[in-house]
Amino acid sequence: MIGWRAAGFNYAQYSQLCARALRSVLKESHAANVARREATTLRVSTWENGVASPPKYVVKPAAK
Amino acid sequence: MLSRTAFSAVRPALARAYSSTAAAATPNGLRLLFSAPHEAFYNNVEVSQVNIPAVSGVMGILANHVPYITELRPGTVEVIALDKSVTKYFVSGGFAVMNHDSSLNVTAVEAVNFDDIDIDLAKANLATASKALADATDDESKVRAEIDVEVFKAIITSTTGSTSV
Repeated sequence: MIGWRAAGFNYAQYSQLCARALRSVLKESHAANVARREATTLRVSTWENGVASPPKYVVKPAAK
Repeated sequence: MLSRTAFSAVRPALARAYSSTAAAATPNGLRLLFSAPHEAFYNNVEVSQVNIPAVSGVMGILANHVPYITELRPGTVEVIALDKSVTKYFVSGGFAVMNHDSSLNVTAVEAVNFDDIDIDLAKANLATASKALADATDDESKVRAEIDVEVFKAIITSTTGSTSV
């Protein structure tokens, strides 16, 4: 058994790593679709006294 | 306090209720709902049998299988249709839920049809990952390489059928 939890990974990260490994062996014709699946963006805004700060990108969207 | 005869009259009726519910709801077969986030491969399609790579081993699911929930390890999901044709998918992981009404939910994080897998690329990636594993110094890179090696080995053994990788 792989000791990913002992190494500091959680299940969500472990399953994403497995998914990435699988995506890396797809045939050329499917490579384009795959890139879209892996892309994520993350914006964070903090709330103080009921007011939200302007959202800031933690993970920027990939340049088109 | 219930008399002994009254108590034994109640228990058999309860036992019969479960199995007759299952049989009445599913006169025909196993309905499969198999999807990954990006695509639904089977959406409530009646199939003959589904083999799933549970962490405890490969399970063959037929209609009226006992309700079950299991995590899936990287492996093959084999769907045998009513006409006995076989379609194989490799899943990177996920969960399978067998319900009492003979519907099977298989949800995978990533799933690809065997036809879409490049086996030479898998072998090349396995060689790279094995080298990375041998060279790894800290726990994190070691685990990342181990995960890669596990998945690539599973892909190669599933698609080529060879047990030596």
